[in-house]
Amino acid sequence: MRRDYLSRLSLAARWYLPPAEAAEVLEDYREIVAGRSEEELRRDLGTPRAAMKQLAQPRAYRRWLAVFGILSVCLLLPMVDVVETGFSMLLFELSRDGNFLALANSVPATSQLTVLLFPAGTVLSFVWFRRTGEKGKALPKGILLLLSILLLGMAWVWFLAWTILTEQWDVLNFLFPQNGYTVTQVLSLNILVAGAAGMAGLIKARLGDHRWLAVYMMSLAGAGLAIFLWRMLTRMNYDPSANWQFPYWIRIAFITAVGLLGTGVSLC
Amino acid sequence: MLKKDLLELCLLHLMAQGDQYGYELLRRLHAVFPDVQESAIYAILRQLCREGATERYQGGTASGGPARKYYRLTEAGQSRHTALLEAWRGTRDALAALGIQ
Repeated sequence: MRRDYLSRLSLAARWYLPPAEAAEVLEDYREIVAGRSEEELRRDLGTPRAAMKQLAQPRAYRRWLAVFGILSVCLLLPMVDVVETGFSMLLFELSRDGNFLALANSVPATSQLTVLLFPAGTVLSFVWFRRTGEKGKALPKGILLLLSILLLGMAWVWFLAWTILTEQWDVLNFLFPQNGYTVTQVLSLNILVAGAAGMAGLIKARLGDHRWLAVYMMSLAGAGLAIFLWRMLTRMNYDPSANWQFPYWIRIAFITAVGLLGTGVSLC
Repeated sequence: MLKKDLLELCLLHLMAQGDQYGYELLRRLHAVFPDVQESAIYAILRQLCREGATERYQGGTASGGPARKYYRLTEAGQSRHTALLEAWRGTRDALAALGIQ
């Protein structure tokens, strides 16, 4: 029971306090907690959350909340119209009525913000966690697992990008024989998985090892790639001149390179 | 004087008598102020450390256990102790003048 209280206390300390202070406080609390039952601990110390909340310095904690909010927005905001379109598409499919182009044009432009939010999230997360984060000894297994999943997702998006940009319609028809729009739904799933993994990475980077930031970085890149391709497919407003694919390849390569570089550096 | 100031004064007063084992400080104050949780007392102790009124250091071990953390007053802490003590005496005298004992 005492271990439970201490582990919850540890999570609360890491959320509310900067890493160095959290470590010091936890060292003190190990002595305070020793030899007491859960009931005594709750009576004498309060809940772990309440105990740590009163130690938080309002200014430092507000700064962390602001950073957390901005990083969440960088990852999640571009997904808003993907989710909204997903629902609209579902309704469209169900009703078999309406005009897809009108639907596409009605989509709000949050996915466009990827251009700004991807670099902003990468730089801010890197600066914040390199300055304030702490690193354990062994690399947590969860990081490797999520990175592998995200890497597979990115490879899948690259493959789809290749089929579309090199006009491999046979391959695309083979993969999605029933409905062309399924490809955007598959991309939406990619985006949502990257979003969930990225938020998990961000929270774990605060609560534990800062190398979890690698998961956030790769999620940002994975979601960025998928959103870029999704946007291209739903807008269909590219320039049909010769070499029209070139600017798309440049952007895809840029997002991938920055994402992989950020992920690699975050792991060090 | 606020209750928080009183608790602060008590902590500083105990430390003015000599270096104190952190855990013991909490237990002693909690025994005197049972309605105040030890975590609240610890928060005041941390704040005093942050403000430079006290210092934390690792002391000896108790019967071969892990090193204990002790707290001591700094010069700034001694000044704070004196100021709070004067404030407390002022409050006590003001209350006594009104017949509140």
